[in-house]
Amino acid sequence: MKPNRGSSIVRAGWKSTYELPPGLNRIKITFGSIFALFFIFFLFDGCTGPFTQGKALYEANCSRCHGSDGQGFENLYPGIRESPYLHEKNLNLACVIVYGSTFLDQNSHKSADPLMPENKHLTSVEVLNIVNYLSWEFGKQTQHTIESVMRNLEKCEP
Amino acid sequence: MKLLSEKGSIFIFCMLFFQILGCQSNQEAPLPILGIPEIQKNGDTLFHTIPEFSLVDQDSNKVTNSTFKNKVYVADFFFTSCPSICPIMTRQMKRIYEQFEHENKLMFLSHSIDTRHDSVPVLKAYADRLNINHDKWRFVTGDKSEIYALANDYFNVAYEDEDAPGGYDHSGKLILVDSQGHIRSFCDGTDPESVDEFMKDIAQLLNEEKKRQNQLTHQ
Repeated sequence: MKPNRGSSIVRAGWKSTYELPPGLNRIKITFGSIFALFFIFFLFDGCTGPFTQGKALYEANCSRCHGSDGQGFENLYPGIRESPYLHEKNLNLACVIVYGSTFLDQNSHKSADPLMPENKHLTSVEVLNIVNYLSWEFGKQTQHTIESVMRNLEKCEP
Repeated sequence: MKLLSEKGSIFIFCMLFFQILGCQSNQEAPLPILGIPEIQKNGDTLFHTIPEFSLVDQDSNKVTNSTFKNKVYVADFFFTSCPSICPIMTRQMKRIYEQFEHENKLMFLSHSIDTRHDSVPVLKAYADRLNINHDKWRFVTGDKSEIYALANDYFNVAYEDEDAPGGYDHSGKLILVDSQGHIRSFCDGTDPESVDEFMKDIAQLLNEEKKRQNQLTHQ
């Protein structure tokens, strides 16, 4: 049986490990260390946040006003970190995200001007992603479930 | 023979080097006057100039061309309830404002394109929340058709569009206007790097205006 060309090259590559001159061996060591660095990088990369989808949705829909760091901007756009909707359990964060000022005004929490826009294009799973990301990044790190978000959204449906 | 060619190549390198140096020292050329100039019948060139306007600012003051007499100003078009690009533009405008806070020759002019919602009190609340000096940064409203026509003169586009986020579509350019009403520079107000370059142009124009006014007082 004639081995195909690709596999013979691979085999030669493996075999040649011990036959390489010292100079080339050093090259291999550097490749090895680069690989190790990448491995370590990926390990730590995993630690930067479990809610990557929520983070992406936040960046796309919310961060222009509230800032990537959640700090808000001057007195125009309130920061996320200090928002009571993130820290008080009985307040309905999901409805703020979806209905914006319409919901905030109904609850007479604060007459927001400039108005916070609605985000009705978000599905309830996406709202869940954002809520979980926000509470992980800026809040008490409590986990929410799709059931609790849907229950909350039903409460404020106009 | 070989030596000669080596010398020759060194010579050419030197020439190139000095040429590059020369180009760099030429960078202080004045900013161009942007827009399509009109050639009049007598052969004079009429540069693109911001036309006469009369608008109302956040403190109900009338704002006209003479508000910016002997001043340089940065203009943009926005609306307070804009969810898309305005928050980023306003952040960048505030960055420029902070950079030149003590420069009394520089002013800011933000036109609202949502004249229905952005009344004087709304603009006032907006300006208050932004923590700025109301004399230095004017938020204006006025006749809708006048503002939309002005947008064109500032190389901006503004129109109502039900499909756009917030109901209005507009470009996010920041425009630099000199004391003669000529547009001298612009940038993309949503791109911080573009704004960095723009701030260099502002500093250069301010220098130019100072020199101009010194010359005028000496005459």
